[in-house]
Amino acid sequence: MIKQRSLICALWLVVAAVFPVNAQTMSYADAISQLATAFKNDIARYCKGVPLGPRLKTCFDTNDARMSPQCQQARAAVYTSISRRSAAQRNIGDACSADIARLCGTSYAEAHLVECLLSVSSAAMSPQCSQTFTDTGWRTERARQ
Amino acid sequence: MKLHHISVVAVALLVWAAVTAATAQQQINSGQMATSLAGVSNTKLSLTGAQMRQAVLDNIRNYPGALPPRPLSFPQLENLAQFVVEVDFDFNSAVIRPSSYRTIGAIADALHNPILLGYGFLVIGRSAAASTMWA
Repeated sequence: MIKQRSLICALWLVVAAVFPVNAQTMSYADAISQLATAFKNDIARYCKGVPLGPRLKTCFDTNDARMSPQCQQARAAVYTSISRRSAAQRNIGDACSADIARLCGTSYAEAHLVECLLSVSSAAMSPQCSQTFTDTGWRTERARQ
Repeated sequence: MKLHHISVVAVALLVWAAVTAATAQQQINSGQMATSLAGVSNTKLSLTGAQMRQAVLDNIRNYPGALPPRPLSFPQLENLAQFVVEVDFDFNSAVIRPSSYRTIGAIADALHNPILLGYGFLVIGRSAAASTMWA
């Protein structure tokens, strides 16, 4: 019985790792905090005095091979997640325009699209719009206010 | 349908650049930042970043190596929605310390919030008197 449970657990973890589609994307605050924690020693060793921004990313890229496996993993996870969030924020207008027009009317475009999307259930949205909205982070961003 | 920014209202973000060890980092989150900046009246700011920069340079030239008799102030900014965060820099340097990365990330999150679409932002920093760096 215990073996079975362990197997189910292990399988679940594999599925969750392979299909992280519905997972939340990271906020910039979480992303940079994770990098700062994972890279603490490596920043001091390889990128000391490098300002936060593109130059720090270049430093991480240049020294990638020398960085600890923990850093490399954190970096890959953070970059993937932030790219997804950034793309979703850029594309949500296109991904959800039909849903917004159908569910809320055209006056809910642009700055008001979040009010519309928060007011309706995920089930009422098209899967693409719902996923893009989740990826923008604006569901949780609003919930934290 | 594309999201786009139109600058109609000026909103100020004040960054307090601390060069000493932080006492306590503010726990203001990005959602609070966004709501504190949203909903301001349509105040037009007749002060530009270049004018403020010039006022700072004039102050440095008039009082070299000394504190001016009264602190430089820009009363017009007081009418703007604003919040203040503390960001730690290495002494006499433009390098932000990793302890303040989260604060910078939270500002980025707030600026990505669609409720702030249509606003313009003014980021103002100041450094310790002992530093030769100024913003």
